[in-house]
Amino acid sequence: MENILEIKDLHVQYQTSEDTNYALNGIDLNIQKGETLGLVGETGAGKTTIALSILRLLQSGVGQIKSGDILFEGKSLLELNDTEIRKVRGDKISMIFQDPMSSLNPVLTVGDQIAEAIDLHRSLSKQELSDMVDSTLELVGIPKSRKNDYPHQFSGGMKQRVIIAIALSTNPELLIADEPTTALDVTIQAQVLHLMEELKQKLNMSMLMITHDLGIVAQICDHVAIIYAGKIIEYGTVYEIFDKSREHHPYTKGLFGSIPDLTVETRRLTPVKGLMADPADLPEGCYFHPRCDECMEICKNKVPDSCGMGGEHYVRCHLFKERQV
Amino acid sequence: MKNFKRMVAIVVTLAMTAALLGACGSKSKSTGEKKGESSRDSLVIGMAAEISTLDPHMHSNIGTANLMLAIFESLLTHDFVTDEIKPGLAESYEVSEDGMTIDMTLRTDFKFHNGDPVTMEDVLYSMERTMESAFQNVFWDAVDNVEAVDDTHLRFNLNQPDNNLPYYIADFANIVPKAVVEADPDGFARAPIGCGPYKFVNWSQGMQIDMEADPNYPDGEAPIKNVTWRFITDRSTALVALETGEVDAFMTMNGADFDQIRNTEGLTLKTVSGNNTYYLSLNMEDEVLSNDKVREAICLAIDKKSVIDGAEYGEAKIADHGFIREGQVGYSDNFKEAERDVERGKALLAEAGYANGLSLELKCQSSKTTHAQVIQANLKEIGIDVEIVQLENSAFYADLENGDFQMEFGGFGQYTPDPSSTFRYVYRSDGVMAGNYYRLNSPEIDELLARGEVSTDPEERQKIYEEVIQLVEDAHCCKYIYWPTANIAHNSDLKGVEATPVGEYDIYNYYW
Amino acid sequence: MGRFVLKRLLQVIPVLIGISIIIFTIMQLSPSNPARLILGEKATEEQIEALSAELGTDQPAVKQYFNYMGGLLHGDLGNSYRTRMPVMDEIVDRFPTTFFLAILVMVVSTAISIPLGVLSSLRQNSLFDAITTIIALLLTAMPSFWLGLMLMLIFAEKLQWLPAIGSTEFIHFIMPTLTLSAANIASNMRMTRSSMLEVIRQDYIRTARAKGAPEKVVIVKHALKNALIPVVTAIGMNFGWSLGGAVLIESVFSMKGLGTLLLNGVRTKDVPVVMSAVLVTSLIFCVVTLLVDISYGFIDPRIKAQYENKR
Repeated sequence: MENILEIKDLHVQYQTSEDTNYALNGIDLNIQKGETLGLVGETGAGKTTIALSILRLLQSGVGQIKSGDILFEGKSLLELNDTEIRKVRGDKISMIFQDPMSSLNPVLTVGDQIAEAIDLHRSLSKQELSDMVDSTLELVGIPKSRKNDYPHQFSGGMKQRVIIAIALSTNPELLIADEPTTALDVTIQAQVLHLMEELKQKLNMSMLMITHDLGIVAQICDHVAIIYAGKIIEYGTVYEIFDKSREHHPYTKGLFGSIPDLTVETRRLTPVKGLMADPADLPEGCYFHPRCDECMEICKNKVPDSCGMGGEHYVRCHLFKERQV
Repeated sequence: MKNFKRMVAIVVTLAMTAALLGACGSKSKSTGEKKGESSRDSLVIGMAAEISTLDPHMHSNIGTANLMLAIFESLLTHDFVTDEIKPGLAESYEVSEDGMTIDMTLRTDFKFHNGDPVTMEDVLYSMERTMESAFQNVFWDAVDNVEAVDDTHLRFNLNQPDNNLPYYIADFANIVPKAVVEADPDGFARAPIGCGPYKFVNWSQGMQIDMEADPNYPDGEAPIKNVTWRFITDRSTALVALETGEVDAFMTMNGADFDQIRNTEGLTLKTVSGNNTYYLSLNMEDEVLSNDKVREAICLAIDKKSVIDGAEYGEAKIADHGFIREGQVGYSDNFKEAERDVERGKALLAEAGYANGLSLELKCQSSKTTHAQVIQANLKEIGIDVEIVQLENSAFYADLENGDFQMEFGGFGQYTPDPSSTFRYVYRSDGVMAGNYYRLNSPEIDELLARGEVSTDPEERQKIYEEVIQLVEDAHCCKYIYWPTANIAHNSDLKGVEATPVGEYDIYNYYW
Repeated sequence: MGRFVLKRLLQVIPVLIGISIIIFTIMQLSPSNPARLILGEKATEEQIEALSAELGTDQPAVKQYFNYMGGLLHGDLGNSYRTRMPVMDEIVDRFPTTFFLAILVMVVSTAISIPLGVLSSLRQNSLFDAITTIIALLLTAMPSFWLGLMLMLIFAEKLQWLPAIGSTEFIHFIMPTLTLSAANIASNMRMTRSSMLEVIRQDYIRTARAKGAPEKVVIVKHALKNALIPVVTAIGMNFGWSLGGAVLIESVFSMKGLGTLLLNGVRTKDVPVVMSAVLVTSLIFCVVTLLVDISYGFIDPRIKAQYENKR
């Protein structure tokens, strides 16, 4: 299976006048062609940063890619000049963002915004463009009569569909979805997810699904990567990750443990204790060690290497030793 | 985006339309040439205040009279440089022995600008008109009537002798065509017809008035064919306009600019002592100032030169004789005015009971604030603290008329060289609303003035007015400080320009 | 939308009435008698009374007010106390100059300030930004008449490139326009800059970039249009300010406009002239404000929807 996207040892920092945030600290990640990779982590772990880095949309001057590489279809994205990366954006790789309410330009019609996405990358006649906008709208389940309406005339769920329409209008190879349903209520969430899955099948797309919701991961992802403080601390197929009989990173265990079980009566939820590590002031050794119940001496000093747990599953933790299963 | 573009298009179209309208607006005639390349047939004169009418009988303002002089002719002519009375429409005039009648013989060669001859009918009509005019009737109190002895002889019948009459006749009694004025008096005020050296051409309200020399003028066509009077209210702008040549002459520049004008190549400044007098008035009816000693002390403290240097850029003359200039009736070497004496002033104040000082209020117009400040400094030296109150013109005069002031600094202008024309306003006890703001109330002075007005004996008059000004000086009701410099600045190539005390300019004499 | 416009036009009427009452009252409160101002210091009481009767200034203030307003309804703006000529003629004569000046100022200041503001926002905290900020502060600090005189001294006197006085040709408008534009440019530029800075941070800008749109398109098509609303407001306000500022500038450059008419009217307490000039200016300003409000509808469809839905 070839990889459509390969991230190699990516380091990204945010530089403000006050301090430096070490957002990504050596990310290694691969997305296989035609699959959905789920990227899971708490707020502030670096999920959005990875997404923005791929398309080089980091805030200029502040966000800096320090080292590492990102290969798309075997070619480095970081070496492209401005014109070339613009060709990739919206065409080969599309991105949809978290908050549909604010992601659409309020003064342009929905049709215009979809048309723009297409027009930037294809030369079509006016009629062809218009037809394509119509079919894209149909694809996401919006009547084409609403082409000339403005964003404020749509509900939240429909806005997100428009955003999806914009992203998919050019039939991209890779779709990066940054928490696409977080801002939506649960019923709409289901609809949107369903839609995304359907489209992914139809258009034979690869997808990077960024989320903190394990339920979504279970539903649609093929592989899962868990990110903490800018490092991938666990990776595997979705079955491997959800397999309770396997060993997992203490953080992963904590994540799963914090999901309330509807069948059991509990008095309190069990969160992972402590707060996300401060990216401006990262701990020595394993970033997670201050919050870890199973912390050992070595954890405080040495950054753990990745440790194979059998199959595609690996964990970065000193607790485990290489094994084959 | 489409709609936005449409908005932009609309705005731009509107702007261009407005531009077209603006550019097609009334173009002015000759606006004067740049320095060095004067076209000899046009002249642009600037003035600071716009006039309100070109009807010669509907104003009493000397400044306005400049334009009237060009368009109209009067029975007599006032030479502003020498203050002589010369013939005008009347080729001769004679005052009777008793001063009760004036006879004149009219010239017959004058025509109005519309071609009609100037007749006795027009003359009588014009005299009647000025005598009834709200603006000018005060000048004719001494006149009973004007009658035509025959077609070319005119007689003024007076009820008392009046030494000022010839001046009023020359300055204000312009002759107008009866038929034209009666047909449309309002139109006449906008587009007058006279018989003077210049014909009226056009009036662009608020901007300028254009005139053209009348080739049929009996004494010869004026040397400069086209004259434009341009109104420029901002004096700094006026100075720039002079320097760029957009204006060839400007009346009454600021003293502050004198040096610059003198130092500018191509510009000439003509000055002469003006006929205004500026003085400090003390309200004799005020509680504190009714004390003669206090007033005398104040008068002793004034340093005239310091006011001139500090507030008039050194460009004024000390008024050493009240209103009267050398050569005028009442001027005498016997006139006694006390020299500045700070010690004596302090002593007098102490005698009056103000040894520890005194506070007084000084009102002035906003243009005279610096003058007030110098006076304030002068008076500080004898222990008087002065509070300066600046007022806008109408408020200022309202307070003066109501007696609502202690001290005031202001000026008064003379209409004629004869003191009677001024003194009736400033020294008569009933002139409180007209100029006697300090409320001088002296039966002795009143009596002298009454005699002076009607007397025809020059020696008697000289004695009378000498006495009057000495009495006024000793009353310490005011302190005369300076006579400002009347001036006109002009392009050096323009000849025939003279500065006049009254501020009137006869452009008939100008040539390139 | 049509109903909205009509409603706003009708609202202009009470505004103008309010202004007329205020101006009239102020004029009445000033301590001088117009007849006396016209006739001069040497006039007698009878003369002043006679002229007052002719002008109608001896009547009670309220009656004078209603006479004037009554005349307005017939399109009669009254006659100037000073010249006795219909004020309407004067206003029609002078209106194009002032209006043209105000429009020029608006066009010039918008054309300069918006690009500068956009560039400043994109180069925030750079040298360019610092320089333009300083220039903006300087321009705001300069009094307009001083700036006008300075320009006159340099361009008319020293260089002799431009005429100092007049308002009959286009060339006469160059310095006055620059003078009045100065402060406008400063404030519009700052407004554009801050509005753009806010807009640039919005999510939809990120969406546009993620689509692969070139930066120029992102700035102009996406950011600027959204940033325009407060800027358009400022432009409208500044137009009104220009009409007022024109009074000083017209005086400095000796231009024949409504400004100098108003100034002279105030000096001579010429009530019909002042009332008419102020009301005409207010009317223009109300209309311009209305146009600005309508333009919002073209810029931002959410506002257009509000206009259409409001009864």
